[in-house]
Amino acid sequence: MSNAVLKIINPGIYSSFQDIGRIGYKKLGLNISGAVDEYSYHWGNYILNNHYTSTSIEITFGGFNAIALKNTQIVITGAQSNISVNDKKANANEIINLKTKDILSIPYTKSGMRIYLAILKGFASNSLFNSNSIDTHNNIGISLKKNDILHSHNKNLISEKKYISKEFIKKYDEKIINLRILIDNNFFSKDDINYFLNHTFTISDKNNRVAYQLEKCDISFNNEKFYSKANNYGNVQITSSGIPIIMSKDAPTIGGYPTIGTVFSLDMSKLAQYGKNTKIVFKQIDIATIQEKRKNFESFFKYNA
Amino acid sequence: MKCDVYGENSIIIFFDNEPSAKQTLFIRRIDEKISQQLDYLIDSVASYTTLVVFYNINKASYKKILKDINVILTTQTLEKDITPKINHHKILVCYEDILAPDLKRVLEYNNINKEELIKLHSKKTYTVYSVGFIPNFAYLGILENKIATPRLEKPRKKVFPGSVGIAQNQTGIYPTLSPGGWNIIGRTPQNLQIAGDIEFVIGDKVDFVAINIDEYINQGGKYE
Repeated sequence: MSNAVLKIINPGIYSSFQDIGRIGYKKLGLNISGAVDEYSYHWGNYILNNHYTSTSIEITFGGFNAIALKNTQIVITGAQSNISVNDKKANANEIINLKTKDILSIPYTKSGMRIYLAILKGFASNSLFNSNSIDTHNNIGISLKKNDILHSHNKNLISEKKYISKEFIKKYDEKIINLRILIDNNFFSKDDINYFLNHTFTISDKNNRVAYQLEKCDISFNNEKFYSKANNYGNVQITSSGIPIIMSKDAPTIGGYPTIGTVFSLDMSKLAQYGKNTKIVFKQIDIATIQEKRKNFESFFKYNA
Repeated sequence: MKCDVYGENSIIIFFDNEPSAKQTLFIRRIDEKISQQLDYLIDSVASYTTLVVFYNINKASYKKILKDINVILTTQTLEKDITPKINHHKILVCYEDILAPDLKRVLEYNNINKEELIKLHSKKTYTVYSVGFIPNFAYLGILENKIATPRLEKPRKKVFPGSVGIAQNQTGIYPTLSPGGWNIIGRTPQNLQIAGDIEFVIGDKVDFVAINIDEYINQGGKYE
């Protein structure tokens, strides 16, 4: 059974329900969606002993206020913000006890782009294609609005004081992005790839849940006879005018530009937190290392439990 | 045909560089065979000349899937083994100006009249070359050269559901309200939203049937 737990006073610029996304529907043209900073999303649920697919709120830029409608527990992770409960400072990365009528305030972020609000047992919502993730780019659900009443399933409160150890809290100051170079049917020359791996890129203001665009670079290609093909999360496509576009969770299932490489999924979590003007460099990583790191991550967060 | 690592949980199969209805049917067969045989697959996306297959890395490594797929690709009995169920969809289209904001542009670009356009667009049976971009959007080919038209220079912010568009040698129908750069030449009153009556799969066939505005409205068609 689910109960009303939170009422939104102010959703901020863009807040939406997210979970691990929709798996297995690309065939129908439905993208994966889900939390764009998987790392922060999973930690919140982990601390609350929630199932790894539990629904949280992804809050872009902050500016979020809500009132508790019953006693519950939450964990705030991701971007940094001066969060408070009833105007008293509260800490991110640990369990916050909310009592009925408590007012939670998450002001605009100090650093980072996206905050995750995980709640005991996760938010309840009408699942579509096995996920509660909102994907406004594909008309799947709508973002959270003022006065929305959010529900959650019943569960006994956690009595121990639980928090994320400092060593696991990402600071997002490392600007190296690991990627695997993909020779997309030989669209790019060796020189292009060398340039790509040695160039410092700047994230442009066109970055959202669909894709992160980088400032134009000196790579171009001959786009005759290029047929669209499946997009993969983390694909770095280069437009004919030399603009790199990194495909994120709400990207279309099919894309029309050649791909130079694929960013490691957990480094996509970093990109979800870097705003415009951030400088990044790409570093090569091989598929065996990527799969090993990803498997360790999934095993830590109990994907197959 | 060659097979390579794509994303961290996907591999890509490259087919012949020239798309054709025959090759698309072959890709559909491979796709069905692979999903029957490999129990660690998650999803797949076929498109024109490629097939991307997604898998669970906790159940199979990239080495294993490459090996398994190469075995399937060299199977000689594919045609006997797999008989895909090809659906033939009939899509009603009203080519009335009020529903077709780019009709004039397409006519001028190709120097033809409206009757010729309707005839050229609706007389042919198309093949679904790919499904995606947005849910249940089918890329249909191959359009007659006489009506092939480049994409709009600036994509439209709102393309209404059911809009039928042309981009180069392709045609397709927008199932939901979406931004889009295809030339809109008409609209169908049918609901093509995902999980509805019509589900496009690669290799399926599509016929367009021209209808007038009265029939469009009778069938529940909307206009602004």
